[in-house]
Amino acid sequence: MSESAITILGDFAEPELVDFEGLLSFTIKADYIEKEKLWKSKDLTAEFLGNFWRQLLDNEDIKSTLHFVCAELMENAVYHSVKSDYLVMIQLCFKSDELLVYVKNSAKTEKVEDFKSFVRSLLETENLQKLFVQRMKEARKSGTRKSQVGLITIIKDRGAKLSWKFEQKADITLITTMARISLKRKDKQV
Amino acid sequence: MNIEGDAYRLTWQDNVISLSGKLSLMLEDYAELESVFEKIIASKPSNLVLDIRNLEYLNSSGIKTICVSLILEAADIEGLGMKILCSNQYTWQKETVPTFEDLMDNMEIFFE
Repeated sequence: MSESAITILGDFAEPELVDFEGLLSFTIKADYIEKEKLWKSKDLTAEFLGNFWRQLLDNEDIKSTLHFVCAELMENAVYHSVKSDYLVMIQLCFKSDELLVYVKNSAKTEKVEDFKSFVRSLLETENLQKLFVQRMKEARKSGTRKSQVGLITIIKDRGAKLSWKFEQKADITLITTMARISLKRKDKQV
Repeated sequence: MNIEGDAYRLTWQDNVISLSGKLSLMLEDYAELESVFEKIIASKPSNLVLDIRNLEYLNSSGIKTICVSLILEAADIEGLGMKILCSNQYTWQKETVPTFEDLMDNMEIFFE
């Protein structure tokens, strides 16, 4: 078995160590379904999760937040997963005062360093709105399609907290993204 | 001009762009919308209205497309004023659309 280097960014908690009241999990091999079909199923899954937990928790606000957070994290996973046996996994843990969403996917190690740099800037910034405007202006100037606006929006507008675990294994890195969604109130960062 | 997608519809008439339904395309599939926004900007309108009152869902690639290809481009046209019509019915609109204000000086956002 090959050694793997692990990097944690943000307040990450291993799902195995979380004392949860309920759990829903959905896992699929990245190469099993065409990307376009996985994309459509991602919308259905995110919508289902939003509706399911809204009903269960009797919390209307959670539906829209959960739908967006799950859809965005799964979009990233579908985009970056390497065609192999590696999995796209979404796992949703319910604790008494928060929901934890885990999305795990693979990515090419060579592409991960840039993403880690962005994650660090996202976690360190004191002004997410300024970062949002900056990324939009940079995207226009460079013509790039990537802007990472989804992750910024999850924290800035949906009030969730994000953290990451990177497990580097030679050419492939496994990335687990964790979103904490408070059930008490929305902790908006601006 | 009209565009019908699987789950969304765009119309452009008399400087009013209306988007409705659910917009959650893959990033590369926003090229068609980008090209419509390009045509709208190229027509150098004196005012623009973006009506999203019936837009139930917008993913981050859609947010980026609207901000970069429409709002930031419109911000460069001298004298152009832009209005965005929103609905209180949709949480995402209340949370996200007001943050567009920093992208353009002459922009007003209305909720109903």
